[in-house]
This record gives sequence, structure tokens and C-alpha cells, in this order.
Amino acid sequence: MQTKMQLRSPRAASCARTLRSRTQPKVMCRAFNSMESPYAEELKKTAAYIAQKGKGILASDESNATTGKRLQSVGVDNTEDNRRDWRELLYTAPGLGQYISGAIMFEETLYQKARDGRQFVDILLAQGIYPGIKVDTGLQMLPGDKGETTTQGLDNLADRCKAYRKQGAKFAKWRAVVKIGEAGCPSTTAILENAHGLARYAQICQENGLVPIVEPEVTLGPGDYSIEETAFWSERVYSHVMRLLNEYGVVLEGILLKPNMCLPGLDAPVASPQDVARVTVRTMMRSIPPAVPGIHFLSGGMSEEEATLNLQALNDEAPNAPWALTFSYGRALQATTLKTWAGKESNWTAAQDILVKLAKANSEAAAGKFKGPHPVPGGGRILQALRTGGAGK
Amino acid sequence: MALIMKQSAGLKAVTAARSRKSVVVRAGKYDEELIKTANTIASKGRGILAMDESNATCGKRLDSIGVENTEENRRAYRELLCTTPGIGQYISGAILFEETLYQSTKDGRKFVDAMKEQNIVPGIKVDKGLVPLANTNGESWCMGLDGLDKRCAEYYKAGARFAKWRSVVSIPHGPSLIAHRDCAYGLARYAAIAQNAGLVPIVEPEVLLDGDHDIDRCLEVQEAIWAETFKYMADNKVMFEGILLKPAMVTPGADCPNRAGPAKVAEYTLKMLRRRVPPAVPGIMFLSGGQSELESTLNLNAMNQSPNPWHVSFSYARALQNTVLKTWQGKAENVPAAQAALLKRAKANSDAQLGKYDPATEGKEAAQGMYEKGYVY
Repeated sequence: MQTKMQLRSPRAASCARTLRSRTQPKVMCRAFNSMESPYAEELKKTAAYIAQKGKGILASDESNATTGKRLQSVGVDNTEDNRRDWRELLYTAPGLGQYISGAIMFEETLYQKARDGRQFVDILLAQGIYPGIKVDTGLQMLPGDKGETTTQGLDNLADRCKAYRKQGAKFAKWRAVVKIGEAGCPSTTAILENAHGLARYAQICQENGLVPIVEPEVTLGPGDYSIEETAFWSERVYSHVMRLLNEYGVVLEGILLKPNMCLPGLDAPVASPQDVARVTVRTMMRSIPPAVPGIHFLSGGMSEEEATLNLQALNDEAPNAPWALTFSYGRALQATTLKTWAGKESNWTAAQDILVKLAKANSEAAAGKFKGPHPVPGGGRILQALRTGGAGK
Repeated sequence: MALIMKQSAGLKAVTAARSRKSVVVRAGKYDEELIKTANTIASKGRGILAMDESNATCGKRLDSIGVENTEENRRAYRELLCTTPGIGQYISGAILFEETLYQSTKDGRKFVDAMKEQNIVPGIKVDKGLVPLANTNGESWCMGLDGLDKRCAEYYKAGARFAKWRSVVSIPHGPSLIAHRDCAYGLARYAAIAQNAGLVPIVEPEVLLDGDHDIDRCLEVQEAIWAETFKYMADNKVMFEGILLKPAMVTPGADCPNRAGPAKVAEYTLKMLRRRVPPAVPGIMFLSGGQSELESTLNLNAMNQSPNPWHVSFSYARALQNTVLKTWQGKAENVPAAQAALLKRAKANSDAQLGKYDPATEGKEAAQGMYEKGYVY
């Protein structure tokens, strides 16, 4: 027997209203409506441009400290000039713009010039590559001894975004890292804290005219955890992230997502591209609404060949995906390029050549058209430790 | 017993994750069947006939054509609907009220069997209705979680393969945070329970047409309630490949002076769906909520002018039944004509699902509005 509920007319309700009801907060839906923001249309266009089919992002935003480690690995000193030379090599690679739609930079790089005096941002734009800027200021340890982290960078972010936009940046990036594969990881604290940082960062970027790349990285780490476990935690993390993006009124047509592919732990057997694709696509289908124009996977330690083959498999698995399934690769585009250069002028052209070949391979994979052979076959995983303690100088 | 095992499997999964043994992500016994059922209902050119009016509400319908509200009359009316020849071309599922699930045709066939013969999946309303929600501004919450697992198991045995639960959100009354959260919470818990019992849950947080708000305000509220609902469903480990949604379209309120035509309704509604609905969900079956038969069809047609990542279709009650009732008038000799009227409306909405609807084929009756202020279901 169902009890009937008569919805009272507003007049009757006002008479019966108690003090509690009168002070009832409305639903927390922001009035950040695409019709109000002056940047909304531009953000959507920028995001759509970067996410266009067959193109991806070159992630070259390593902090000075991390760049230093890379340079040192090929015997090059970590000086500002050497860092500048290295990025000049990347951005002036002829024809790179056919395959790359955006390049993420560290703050120092955004303001640097090539040897002939041209601003890096202008060189990139001339190639049809949109300049982007890393705006987080690094990882900090969370309390507890599980090695979990949060990401810093909200202080003064609005002002920084304004300045970066003035300098020519069109998009921004913030990397949040969630660790799995150890007892107690990820904790609820870590998930909520990282989701919150991403959502606030995204909101501030949009308000100040930059497309935010939202990067919730469920990181590839030690352990023999299965690909299903990665998928399980990835879904949990993305669910929180999406909820907070909604809560903060972030316009989804004006963001890009930079997630991890679903991979088993480092001590488990490497998964085939087909398994990676099946599980990763399933996770994205469950978590990411179609309004997001592009999903730019991070390479996160995959070898250069693995990163391309997995990306091709993703596009085989979901050729009609509502978002672009593409890349935002750092190590998977730079590792062999760097080794080829090794700081020597005489290797400049050869290094640029291999970079463009790698970009082309991944561009083809993003369009579902990579047939091989891979320019750098058979490489191993390219791992780096999590660096905490704030952005390096 | 199965339920206890399922719970401990779930508990094991969480404990295992914490202690680093292998993780069972989801041990759903019915997972494959749920996906199959959801995709059958969300098939091209087809939608749902909602005929789950409670006895009291059904009484209102019968009353409007001068027919007495008896069990036999309700039975006869529902028989008219589900034995319409050829209806299965356009209707993939029919939602029943509990009484109807156990009724039979005049010649002794169970309704669920008659429906299956027509290629229609039987569904069942499982909520126990709306009641006042404490400390809110005259808002309501939806009851039905108590004993829901057992009811669902019984309904599955009786032949139902999907379920439906209708919560409401009222813009003129708020919506308050309390009502908002309870709506999402109830739907998420119901969905998890239904899936565990083999029933595809239709998830329906109806943002009521009542009010003088504009279409932007409706969009805002709809985006908020769907964000909340998906979050709670994810937390409750609902499998999105095995659910169907039943949203209201994004429209201005019934008393808003600025009206919106099909193109605008489609633009706003698709924007809302694209922002809030993961592509894993196979089907979105819109409610008509007081729109006229014609409006409901035109709006659905406008939404299907280009491919969508999910099946975008209908789950209409009043917008399929209005003309049928008026044609029937409770008289046996009118049954063929009434069934023809149902077939016509079902085909119109099927065409709309395919984006091919032609309004030139309609009569005057179809344009009659069916909005009722403060409508009680």
C-alpha cells in the first residue's frame, strides 16, 4: 500500500515552513554557465584543436631538477643553456607540427628563446603546436608512511595563469599521483586530496583562459598487482575527479584528460596491447563523459615501442570512441632522442630525426593507422622515481 | 545464501586490496545477462512502454474515460496494451506494476509470457512511492529499499528482467541538498540491489516540469543531480554497462514564459548527457513527464539527428497511452481501434529514435498537453 505524497503548493509550504527549512541551502550547482564565461568558447576550440584526431602532445615540462637528471644521464651538465639547447632541439624539429598539436613546457622554458632569438612560443605556434605550461609546483608527501603524495600549486595560481597566457600559453597541466600496489594504498585521503587539487586547479585555469589538462595518474609501480586492480582503483579515482570537476563547475568541453593506461604492476608479467586496450577502454567508457574532447594517455614508464603499440591497440578496440584516444608522451618521445643527441652538435639533426619518427609513429597510432616497424623497437621500461619536495629550481 | 556469498566476496575484495592479495573486481552472477538485457531494450528503433501506474493512478486514467477502477478493468486495459499485434517492432520493454506482473490475458496466458512472445522484455516498478522528506522545503523522498533484495528475487522468478525506481527533484521547492543527496543515494542503492538480483535497473531521478524556471536553470539542476547520481552509483559498484537511464528532457518549466522548441530542447539535453553520462551506459530512455504526445516525439526526433554514444530513446507512459485511452473508452468493440492508436504512437516514437519522424502524419489529438500542476504519480 503506497502512501501518497501531495506536493504542497509554494504558498502552503511557506506557511508551514520551519526555521530549518527557511535556511535550507540550495543544491550546490554552480552558475558557471558557458554563456557567462568570456573564455568558454575559446577554451572549447583550443581543447578541440589539441585533441584533433591523429595528433598528440609532447610533454617536455620536466622541472629543472628532473631535466638535470636526464641531461646527466648522457653526460651533459644541468645548466640553463643546456636545458635551453635541449628544448630548442625538440621544438625546431622540422615537421614536428604534423604530428604534435601541443607541447607542455616548464616555466623557465616558456620564457626562453632559441639561439637565433626567436621565442620558443613563437617557434611552436609557427609549427601549429600550441604552447602549454606545467603549473603545479611538485609533489609533497602526505602524512602517514605509505609514500602517498599530494600536489602543490594553488597559491597565486590565478595570477600565474594570467601571466602565462600573456606569454602565449594556451593550456596548462597539473600532475596528481595516486599510488597503488601496497597495503593501505590508495587511502581515501590520497584520493580525495588529489581529486580536490585537480578540480580547483582546473577551475582556476578556465577562469583565466587556459585549458587545463587534468592528470590523475594511478602510477605504475613495484608489485605484482593485476591489471584488474589497476582498473579498479583507476575507476575509483576518476569517479572522484569527475564529481569534483562537476562540483566546481569546470566546463568539460574545455578540458583534456591525461590518465594512465591500465597496466599490471612492475613485478607482474607485462600485459599484451590487446589486454591493456580492453581494460583501459572499459575503464574510460565507465568513467569519462563524452563532453571531454581528448584523452591523452601518459607513457609513465612504458618503453617507446610499448607506448605506441598500446595506443594503436586502444584505437583498434574503440575506433568510434566519443573522445580522441591519443597521447601526451614525455619519456616515450624523448628517451632515444636524448641518447642520440648526447649533447653533441653533430648529433643534432639525427636526434631531431628520431624525435619526428617517434612522433609520427604515435600520431599514426592515435589515428588507428600504425602498421610498423617502430623507429625504436625492443626498448625496456623507462622508469623514474617519484620526486617530492616541491618544484626544482 | 547467494547474497551473503556476494557480500563476503565484496568484502574479500576490499580486504584483499588492502592486504595485497588478488582482487576480485566484481563477482556479479548476472553481469553478462544484465548487459544482454540492457542492450536488447536499447535496440535500434525501439523504446519502452511505461504502463506501471499504481492502482490509484491507473484509476485516475480509467476515471477520465468513465471506466470504474476495478481489478478486471485494469487487467483488460493492460491486456489491450500488451497484446497489440506487432507492437514488439517498436517496443522493446514494458514496465509493469506489481499487480500486472501476476495477471493473465482473457485466454489464460500470463502477461509476461504474452509480452515475451511479442519480443518485449517485462519490467517491474519496485519503488514504494514518494513521502515527505523531513527538514526540507516540502520535498519528497522515494521509499523502497527495505526488503528490496527479496522482492527483486521474486520478480525475477516471475519473469521480470528489468526494474524501475522513480525519484523526483523539484526545482520550485529547492532542490535542497538533503533532497538531492537522498535522491541519488536511493537510486544508487536500488541499482546495486537490482543488479545483484538479475534485474537491469532503470535509473530515474525525474526533475519535475513544475515551475517557472528557464531552460538554463533546468540544465544546471539536471547536471547536478546526474553528477551526484553517477558518483553514488560508482561508490556502490553499480555496473554501468548494465543500467538504463530515464531522465527528464532539459526544458523550461511549465510556467516559464520562454518556451523552447525541439531544436533547443535537443541541444540542451544532449549537452547535459554528454557532460554527465559515461559511454558505458547502453541506453537513455526519456520520460515524457507531461509533455504532449507530439512534443515528446518531436523532441526525441531532434535528439537523434546525428549519432550518439548511447541509444537515445523513450520510456513513455502518458505520451503513448493518452489517445489509446480516449479511443478505447472501456468498450470491447473499440479495442482494435485503440490498439491501432497505440501502434501508431509507438511507430512515431520508433521513427523519432531513428531520427526519421515526420510530423505531417499526426492528428489533432497528439498535440494535447498533458501537464498537470503538482502531478502525483
